[in-house]
Amino acid sequence: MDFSAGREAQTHANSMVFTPPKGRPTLCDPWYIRVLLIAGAVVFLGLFLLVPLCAVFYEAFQKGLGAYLAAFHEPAAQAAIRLTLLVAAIAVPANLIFGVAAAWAIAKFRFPAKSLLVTLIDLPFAVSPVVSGLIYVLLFGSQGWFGPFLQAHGIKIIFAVPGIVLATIFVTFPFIARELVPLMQAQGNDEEQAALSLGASGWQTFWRVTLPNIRWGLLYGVILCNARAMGEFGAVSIVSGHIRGLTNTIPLQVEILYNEYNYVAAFAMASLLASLALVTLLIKSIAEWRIRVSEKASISQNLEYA
Amino acid sequence: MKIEAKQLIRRFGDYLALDRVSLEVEDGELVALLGPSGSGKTTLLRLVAGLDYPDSGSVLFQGRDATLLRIQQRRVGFVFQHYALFRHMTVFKNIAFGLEVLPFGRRPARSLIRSRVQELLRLVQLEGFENRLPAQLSGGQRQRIALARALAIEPRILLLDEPFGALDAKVRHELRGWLRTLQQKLKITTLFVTHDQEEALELADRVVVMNNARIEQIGTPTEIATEPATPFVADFLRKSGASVSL
Repeated sequence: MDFSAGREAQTHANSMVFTPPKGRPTLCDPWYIRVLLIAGAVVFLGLFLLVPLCAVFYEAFQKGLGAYLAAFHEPAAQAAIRLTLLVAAIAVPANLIFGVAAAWAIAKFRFPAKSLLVTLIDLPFAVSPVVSGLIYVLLFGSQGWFGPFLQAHGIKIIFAVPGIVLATIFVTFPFIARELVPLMQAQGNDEEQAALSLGASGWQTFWRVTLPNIRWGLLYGVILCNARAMGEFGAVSIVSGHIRGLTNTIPLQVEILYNEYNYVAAFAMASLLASLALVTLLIKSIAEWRIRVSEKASISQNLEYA
Repeated sequence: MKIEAKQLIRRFGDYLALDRVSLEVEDGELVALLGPSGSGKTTLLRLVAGLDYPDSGSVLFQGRDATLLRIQQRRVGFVFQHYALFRHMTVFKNIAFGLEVLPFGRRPARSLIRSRVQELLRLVQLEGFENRLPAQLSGGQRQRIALARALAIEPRILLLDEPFGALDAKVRHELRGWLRTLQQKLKITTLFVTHDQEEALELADRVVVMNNARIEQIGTPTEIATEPATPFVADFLRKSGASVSL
């Protein structure tokens, strides 16, 4: 299938019957419309995305590098960073396993209630994070369904680290599964069946065939999941209880510092999250580019089949 | 190895894909499953391979029941319609796959795998291609790599699903003759699916004509062409404009 050749022939045919006015191409708007659109987009992006990003770093460094670094020497700040890393270190691997398993089941098997599973995966996107947090308070809080049981056994979930981890896992669940399902559906089952027919076990098939084929999509999902896990505010805010040095993650710490008019420290912490976002974007673009390249390869492969 | 299918029934929901199909393929024979799409020929092939299981009936290899054997235990070489080469692996890795996944005790040494892959590349006449990726091969080359990969496990039978369906006419003709020679050289029992009656009649020792989940006729190409058993067979051969020179 060669589209470009067809298009060339078409433009050629068009020029025979219809000669466009000289000077500019037919299908092109006047210059001032182009300038207006581009300028509008640039101003909008600058105002709403670039300026705030710069403002974060500007505020953080307002009183110099010393004050910026001093903000991280606070024990509460260090505790917040540690807690955020801990939560991400639990939530991301958990969702990695759940996400791959769910995507594998949805893309490669037919089973009853499959559409229910697909809907459930999307649920955290549809529900406000605050509501997700409240669900856990309702379940595990001292007045909640399991509250008396947990209290009797001395287990603390709400206003403690387990609650924060649970809420984060809930909110970030869709990222990896949603990234993988369309990718795995597009790739189909053929290669897995071929691997089985060659004597590979299910486990070998997964590690040697399925996983390498989805690796860039998986990386993409993991970094998005990680960014959200570290940056989640709403759900975590509900279940955390804001105990300084114990249950504050970076976003919560930012809020507290800001409310105390401690701007430099607040923006210093915020700059950590902003840097994380920049790194995430960078890895995301690389992963996207790799996905496109491998997709192109598999498309050209499929075209020749046809 | 002799293959027998006995009274195979396979349903997909309400749809009956195979209706009491019985078939015998003798050791070393090359048999074509011929029929229009939806006739059940691919379903039958997948049941023999172990990619799917029958609702009732049985599959026998060399007289022994293989119906419940898993595909890994059947040691069948299966060539998929679109080849299903592992797109992220080189040609070498593709062919070596079946040997590298063997359990530790039975896995050949690295050097042995290497020489086996070279031998197979020679067999499919693609020496020097071991470092290419599937995307860098032509359709006919992919087809031959898929065959080499299937042969690497020294299969007891060879199953091919529309082996030439995705190729242009010229390559198809070349590969057809080549496959026939190869099959005779290896003396491996082979079953292949096709909707192209010319291909079936030219290549196979015997042809199984299928329609609507049933077998219409089993016979040598001459028998099928000269004495069609049912109106369907006669019609199918005529409609596809068979100008078969036997």
